[in-house]
Amino acid sequence: MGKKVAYAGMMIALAFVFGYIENVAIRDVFIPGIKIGLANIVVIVALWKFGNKMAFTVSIIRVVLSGATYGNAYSFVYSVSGGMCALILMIVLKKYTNFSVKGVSVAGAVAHNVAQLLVAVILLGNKWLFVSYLPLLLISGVIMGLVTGVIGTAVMKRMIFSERL
Amino acid sequence: MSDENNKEVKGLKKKEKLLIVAVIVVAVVVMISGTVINAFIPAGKVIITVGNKEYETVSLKENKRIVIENEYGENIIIIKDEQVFMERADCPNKTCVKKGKITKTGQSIVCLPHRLTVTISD
Ligand SMILES: [Zn+2]
Repeated sequence: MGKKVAYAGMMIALAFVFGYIENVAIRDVFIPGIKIGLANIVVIVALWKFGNKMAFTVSIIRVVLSGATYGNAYSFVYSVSGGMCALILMIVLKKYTNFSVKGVSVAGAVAHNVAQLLVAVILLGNKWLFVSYLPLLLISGVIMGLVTGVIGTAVMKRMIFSERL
Repeated sequence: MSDENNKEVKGLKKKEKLLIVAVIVVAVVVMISGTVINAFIPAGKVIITVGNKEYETVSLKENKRIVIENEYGENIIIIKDEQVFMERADCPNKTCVKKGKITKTGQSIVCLPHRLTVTISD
C-alpha cells in the first residue's frame, strides 16, 4: 500500500512536469487552450502497470493540480473532458481488444482531442470550428498518440519496479 | 499482463493500423470539405459569438470597427476590404491577434480566454 502511494505520487509529479512542459513550451498549438496530451505517457504507464484505479487517480489529480496552477475554469473543463474521454476509451480498448500500448495510446490521444474540440464547440457556440480544427486535431492525435505510445512502451521496458504490487 | 509486453515491441497490429488509417481518412475528408467550403461558398457575413451566444452579425462588405467590452475583457475586431482581423485584445495569450487576417467562408478567429469567436459565414 505504502509503495503504491509512493508510485502514485511519483507518477502524478511526472504528469505534472509534462503538463508544465505543455503549458509553457508548446501552448496554443491549435485552438488556444487545447493541449496535446503529453502527460498521457504517465497515465498509460499507470494503466498498464498498476491498473484502472491508479490511471484514474493519476489523471484526475493531475487535471485538478494543473487546473489550479495554470488554468481557469474553462481550460479546466477542457482538460477534464479530454482526459476522462481518453482514459475511458483506453480502459475499454485495453480490456476488450488486443491493442498494444501504442494502439491504445493513439485511440486515447484522438479521443482526448476530439472531446476537447466538442467541448470548445459547445462552450463557444460556433460549429464552424469543428470543420476548421478537426483535421489538425485528428492528425495531431495520431502523431502524439504514437509518440506517447512509443515512449510509454520504452519506459515500461526499463521500469525497475516489480510487475505486481 | 507481462506476456502482452512481448507483442508490443514489434510494430503495430492490423487493427491498430486500421484505426490510424480510419482516423486519417476522416481528417482528410473533413479537410477537403473545409477547403471546398473555403473555395466555393461565397463569403457573406461575419458572425461574432461571445459566451456561446451570437453577439453580432455584420456583412463582410461593410467596413467596421467593433469594440467588445465585457466581463472577460476587451477585443477590437476590424472588418475592412472583406478581410477580418483582431486588432487588439487584452487576453493573456494574444492568439487571436496573432491569427492575422481571415477572408474565406468557414475561417475563424478564436479568443478562448474571452470566450469569443469571429467566423466568416456564407
Ligand atoms: Zn485573445
